[in-house]
Amino acid sequence: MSSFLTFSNVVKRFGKTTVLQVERLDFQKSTYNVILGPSGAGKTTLLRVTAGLERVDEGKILLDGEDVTARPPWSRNIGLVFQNYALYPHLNVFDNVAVPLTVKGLPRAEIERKVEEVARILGIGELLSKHPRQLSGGQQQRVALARAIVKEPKILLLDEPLSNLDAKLRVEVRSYLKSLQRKLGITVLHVTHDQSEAMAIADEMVVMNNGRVEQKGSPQEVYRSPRTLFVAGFVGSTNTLPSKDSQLLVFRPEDAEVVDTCDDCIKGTITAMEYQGVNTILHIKVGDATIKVLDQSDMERKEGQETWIRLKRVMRFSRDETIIRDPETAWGTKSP
Amino acid sequence: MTSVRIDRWTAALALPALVYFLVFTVYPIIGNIILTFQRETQSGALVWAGISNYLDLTTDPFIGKVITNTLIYMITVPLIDLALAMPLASILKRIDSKVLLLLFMIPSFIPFVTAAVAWELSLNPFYGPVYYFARINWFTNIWMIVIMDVWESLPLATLIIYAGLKSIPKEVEEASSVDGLVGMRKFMQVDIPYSSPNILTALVLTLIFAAFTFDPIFVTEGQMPPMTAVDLAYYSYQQFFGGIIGYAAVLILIMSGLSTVLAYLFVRAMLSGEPRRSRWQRIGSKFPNRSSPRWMVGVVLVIYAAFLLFPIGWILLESIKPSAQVFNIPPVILTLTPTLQHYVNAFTQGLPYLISSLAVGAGVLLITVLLGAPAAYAMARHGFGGRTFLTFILFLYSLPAIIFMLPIYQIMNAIGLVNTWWALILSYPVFVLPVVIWICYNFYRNFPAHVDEAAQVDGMNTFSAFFRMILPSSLDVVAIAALYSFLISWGALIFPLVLTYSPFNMTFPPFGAQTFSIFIGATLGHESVHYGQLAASCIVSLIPAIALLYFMRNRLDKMYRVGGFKG
Repeated sequence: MSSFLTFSNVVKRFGKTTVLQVERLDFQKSTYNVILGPSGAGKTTLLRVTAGLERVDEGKILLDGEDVTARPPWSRNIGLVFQNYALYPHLNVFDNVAVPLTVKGLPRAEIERKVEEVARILGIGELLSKHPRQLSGGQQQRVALARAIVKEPKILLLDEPLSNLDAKLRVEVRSYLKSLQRKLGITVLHVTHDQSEAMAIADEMVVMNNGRVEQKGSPQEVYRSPRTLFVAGFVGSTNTLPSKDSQLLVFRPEDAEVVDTCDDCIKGTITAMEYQGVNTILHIKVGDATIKVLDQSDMERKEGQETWIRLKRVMRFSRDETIIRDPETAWGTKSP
Repeated sequence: MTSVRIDRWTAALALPALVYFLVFTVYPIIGNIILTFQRETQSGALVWAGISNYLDLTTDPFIGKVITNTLIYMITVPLIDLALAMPLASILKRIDSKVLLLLFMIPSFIPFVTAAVAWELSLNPFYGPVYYFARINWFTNIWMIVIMDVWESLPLATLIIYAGLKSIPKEVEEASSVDGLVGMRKFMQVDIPYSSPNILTALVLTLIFAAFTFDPIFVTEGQMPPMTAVDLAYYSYQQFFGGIIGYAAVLILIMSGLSTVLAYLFVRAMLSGEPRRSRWQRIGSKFPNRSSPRWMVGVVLVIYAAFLLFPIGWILLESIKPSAQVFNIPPVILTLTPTLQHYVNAFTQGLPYLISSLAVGAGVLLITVLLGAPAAYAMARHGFGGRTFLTFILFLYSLPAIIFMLPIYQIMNAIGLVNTWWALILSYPVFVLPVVIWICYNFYRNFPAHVDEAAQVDGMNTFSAFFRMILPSSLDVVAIAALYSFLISWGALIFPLVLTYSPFNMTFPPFGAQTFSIFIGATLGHESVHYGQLAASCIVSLIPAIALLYFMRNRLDKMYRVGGFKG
């Protein structure tokens, strides 16, 4: 499969600070891609250089086989939904959505047809004569989405699209976004700092930190086989224990279990319990460290109780925080 | 830090303003220097004169008096202004009345020539209200000009300091009140340190204003003993009218040097703005820590109101008196038979002047908004010109119009536009455009970047993004800038005096362009002038100022915020 959007050796600096440094990054056509990272990771900058709102200092950006590196935003044919939606305050919904089409100089009838079609897809048909300030946050977002897709862009960029919505709406909208992408077959780049959001909708996720790409892969790959300690810690929760050979043992709460007795196990003391309904998260003190273990048994536990922990699956990281692959197991895991 | 990218479309936003400034401000500054080495022959041709114009300074019997007068204005007016403005600003903040704030602002927004005429009518020992309590000839010495200067500049100084007081963070206000700081001590220990950048700006602005006093001297010239109050600005104008162009250019060059120093102080005050704190703590602790009683605030307020509203109040009363009562001795204060006859006269006799002022104001408004708003956006959003261009704009903002007078007259003379509307429409932006740019710049600095980014992503280049999306969504501020532009044109006096010599001929093609400000300012002293009609004309000339103040009522203090520039 050939790449639809490619970054090669892209560097972006603000003054002396390098905020983005990407050696190679490929996105496939008609996929839902999520850029994930903590604030300051460079994910929004990645989005903005894709849109052309920032110009890269080095490197190349190829979109659909064309070098767009030096192109201004207005000649890239990109759809962008801003974090705060950025609707034009002086235009009503219809005119907002119609802007990209009027700029192209399409005939009025065609503009009306296209706007009404996209309004139907997004369910904003009744809002067309309203002004942005009369809309709720969720409605504004749909209008912003409509404006972004009405011109049939090569790529749709979403900047933290769920961050201004309340928690309940967030879960609804994220599955809506994914189904919309499937329906239109469009290529999406979606930026977020929320790892559960990323895991839930991404075909491919890109985990970024300090302006660099830490890992790219499907949610399963990233979760199950993180390449660095940062990725392991940022995507899902982890426990870290030092091992004898100055490596780090890393495992997820569900990859450990509490047992009554075993030979090769770790010994610890339960210090706290978080009851979750289906299961319980146990905080267990092991030596100087405290680890979390997902306990799915119905056994009765008590704070202060001594217990044994068996590790079912463990990742080993070297001191420089990259994973050590074990040739015998595909996942780089091994019992201690 | 933001990344700055100046593409050709962004440059196109600022280019017209830049070109205008090159032709009408940079060239005149150079042209004036050339003029200092020239003199006018009897036939009107300019010939080289070496340094003789400079040598004339040493033999001029009046120059010492003129410089002394200029210094008197520069020292007394700003100090009196600050001494009066700080308590007034503090009181206005305490009583928090928008109506009173607007009323008190009137003197600084009306045409200065109107202000001078209003004073002159009010202080007339026979026909003015002073007949009853101060029947003396007020216009015998320079201090009357100082009083008029203070009256005109005090509201602006107050507004700038008031803006500083209003921008004190709420937490600081609350903390000082929890700590038990009130009254004078709070003013000294909290208010002054926090608003010190504004106080400094007010000081420098009033200093510039006073250093180039013109309008009151022009209006009162007929009454005053010769040279009593003449300063450099007015003296150079006199030399120009006497045909002594080269010497006038030397005087203007001296003023340019002076104004450059003042402008430098102004730019520093405007662009630095880090409040200084500790020094005031010790001094402040000597002041009483109690709130002034309400009655005292009330009394002080009445005194300020009497001073600031007295001349306007009088011309208002004068303008509705029937003719028979206008020259009554003793003067009639409040007529029982009000008439609008003087307004009818003002409109009929003043009509050609009024038309010129409206036409010129409209033309200048169009030019300055169309050039200024996009340039301001290119500067604020795209960093066009960087700090250098911003400094240049502020520099022009603070320069007095008179230093551009001679070369601009030459330009207009060369292209045959003298005594036409075009001469004024093309030249006023010299002092109007920087103000419009500054107002818009301050607004666009905080304008959300994403409107413009959305427009770019939607397919507009930065140029059309501005005109299609930014301008329509910032119409309220552009409207204020436009009104401000009109207001400055409306009150202008020096340029129309220099560039026109007859009223509009009321036919086509239009010729003659004397403005309403000349109609008001130049008629006093003529025997034939009717005080009632003059007062009515003055009231008419207040209308744009009242309109602007009304439109700005909710953001008056925000327009004069100072400091904290990222440049």
